[in-house]
Amino acid sequence: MKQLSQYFFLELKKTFLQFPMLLIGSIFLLAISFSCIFLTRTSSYGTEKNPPVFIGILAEKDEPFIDWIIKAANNMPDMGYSVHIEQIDKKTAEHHFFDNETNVLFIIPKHYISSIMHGENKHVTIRFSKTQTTIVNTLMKELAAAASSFILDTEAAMYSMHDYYQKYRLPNETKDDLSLNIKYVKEIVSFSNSMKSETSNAVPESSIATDLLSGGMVLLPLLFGLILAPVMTSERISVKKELTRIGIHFWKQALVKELVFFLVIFASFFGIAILWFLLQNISVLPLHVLSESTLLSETLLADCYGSFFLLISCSPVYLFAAAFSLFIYEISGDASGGMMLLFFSTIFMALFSGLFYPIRYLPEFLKHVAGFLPTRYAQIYIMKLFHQEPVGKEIFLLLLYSICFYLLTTLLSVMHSRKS
Amino acid sequence: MKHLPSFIFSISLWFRLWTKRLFFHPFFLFTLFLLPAVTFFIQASEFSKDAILRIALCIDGKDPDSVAERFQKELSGLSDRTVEFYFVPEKDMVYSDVAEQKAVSGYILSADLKKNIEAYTNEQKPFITTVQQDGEMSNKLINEILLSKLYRTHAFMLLRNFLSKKSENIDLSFIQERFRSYQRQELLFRFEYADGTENKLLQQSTGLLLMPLRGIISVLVFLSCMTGAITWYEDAQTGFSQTIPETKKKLCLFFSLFIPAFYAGILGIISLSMTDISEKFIHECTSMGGFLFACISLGYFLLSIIKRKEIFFSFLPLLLIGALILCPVFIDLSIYSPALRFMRCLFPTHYYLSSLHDHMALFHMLLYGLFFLLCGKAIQKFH
Repeated sequence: MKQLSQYFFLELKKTFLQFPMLLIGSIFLLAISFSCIFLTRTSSYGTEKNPPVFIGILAEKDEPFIDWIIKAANNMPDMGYSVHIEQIDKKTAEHHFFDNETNVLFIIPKHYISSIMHGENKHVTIRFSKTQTTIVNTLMKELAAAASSFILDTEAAMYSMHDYYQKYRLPNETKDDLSLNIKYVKEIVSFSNSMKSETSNAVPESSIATDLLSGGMVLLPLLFGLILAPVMTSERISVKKELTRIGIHFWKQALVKELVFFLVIFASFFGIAILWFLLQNISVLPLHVLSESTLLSETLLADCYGSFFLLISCSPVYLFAAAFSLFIYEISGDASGGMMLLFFSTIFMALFSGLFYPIRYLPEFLKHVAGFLPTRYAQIYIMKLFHQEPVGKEIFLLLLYSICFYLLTTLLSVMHSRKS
Repeated sequence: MKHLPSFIFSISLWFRLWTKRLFFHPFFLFTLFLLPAVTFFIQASEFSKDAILRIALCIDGKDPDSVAERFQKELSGLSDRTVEFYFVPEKDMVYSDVAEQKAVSGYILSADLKKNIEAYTNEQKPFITTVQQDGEMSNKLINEILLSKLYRTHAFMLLRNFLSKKSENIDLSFIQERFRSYQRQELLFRFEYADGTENKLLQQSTGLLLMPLRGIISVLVFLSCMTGAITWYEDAQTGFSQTIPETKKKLCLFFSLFIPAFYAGILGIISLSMTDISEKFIHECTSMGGFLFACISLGYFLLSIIKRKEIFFSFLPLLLIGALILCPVFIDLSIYSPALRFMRCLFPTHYYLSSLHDHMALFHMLLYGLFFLLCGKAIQKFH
């Protein structure tokens, strides 16, 4: 027992002796998260619900209705994202694109409106500033198809009207054409009034901040394994054998390493919790929710309590991250291979378990795959913490995964030693 | 080989030597070979008919009218890889499917849909009940898609009402026949990249999971390059680099950074070529070449300023996470904070993702590489 505790403190010392590197790593991670939060809050668009997506409209100066369309679109209520639409000229469009100021550029061809009226459908070009990866962009084609269908059905109605006027020689065709056109435009804009919305209460509301936070809380401990690569990389077989000879068996060695990793993550995230508290006035994270059951609710200490509660509650996630990282470094045997495999497996596990895109967007087959991934349960666990729901099942599963990875690490360690 | 000039011979020798060294890291190679395997897996899962967004619909009531029947028939057949509509017999099932996340949203329409649309034409009263999850970003877009399907009937009724005000006895069959004859389906929008070339990703409705693949590959190539830098640190620690002649050291440093990134790049291009998102081979190679140059230059710069391996390790998550969330690979944080757009210029991934369709980005990537190469050289010289 004495030798085991000595080994534990030696490993702990070895890790904490490299504290400058851990500290720098943690500070870098913090720098990213806080610069994101800080810039979000202090951005020039800070007064908006969300900072805007900038959409440029490139059209001829005398193109009719463009001003009206821009004004109507800018005044559209509750868009989810705040969208700012502005007419720009060709030179500004290029300049904006290269400076990444424009997200999307709509290029309206010359005499577009009259071309629609004459049945000669010119194509509107939608140009994106960069490679698009979000779900909103995936839906752009569907949205374009919907917009096309609005235009084409209106056109069909207008042509039918003309045919009818010609057949029955009705008067005021031009005047009526304009008034019917305007009626259609008004109807298209207000057609959403035909919907009465009901919210499904069974699914708890989750904000973008909560989604990002829960995903980040799962990813950060796993990626922390990259910083600790020199410490986590498997010891030489001779050292392991020597440790076994003095009574510290492979399972004890793995356990010590896992505990050390766990403590290091815990210590590093403790720093994050302190900073959350210090910078709570710029925090956009719903940490006060976690302290609702206490008397601290809506007090200055609420965020502080929330952040420390979150830190301690995330222990099963840290434990899983420790067991998983140790397992990866044990099978790879070297820092380079371990880092590559750890990063690769973390990213794809996160992708398939809905950390980046909501799980409901994944194909059915992958939803089943997600059911076997520990990262899925880690995210559900953190989300449930925010919604103050029972988390017994998730804790059990995370501990089960941690034990499995720990046993596999020990088994691999024994196999490596026998092989040598 | 003797006929080769000594310089080329030397390069080819070091290339083979460093390639051989890579085989001493079997799990590094294993991870690289996992990349095409996972790509194949994603591609296979994308071939399944599951759409990204499943939308539950219910016609509430018995004996649906002609419009409701047509609507049901039209939407049942409408399913692509992005949106899929499906009908449920009971309206309670709409609520349960949305609650269980089987459907992203649900719509309940009355069986006498024609009457409802007609009533709406005269007085704007809601007649569709939408069941949605609060905070779901696709809600507004799906609403528009559904409304566009209903708009045809509404447009016809507006026309009928308009014409009925002009003449007392309108020829309804003539209007119906003309309206039907003019109906067509066509996409009136074209998607382009920044340089004006066709955006195939959006034009073809590429699967959601394939979209970040290029970004993931670029980050893996970058990480491979950085593991090369770690090997260089380890060589310095074990004294291996001291055995290399001083004149060859720079060549060795280059190959330490280049070889892992080179093989990662090749496997990345192979993986991309298995998917719908690959571009012309020559464009892929040019961009990857520029990206390798940017990564190697950045690695060289970091090796010049950071003397301790441990501190270098601590830099890695910063560079990787920064690339993932700012460039963007998965989520674009700059949508929430435009000020973050400037930060992405620090990461080579940003230039690589834009370079395929933006010659200026390719030029900027080369400038980026050149800048760090010169900075690294200057630091080495002063040091």
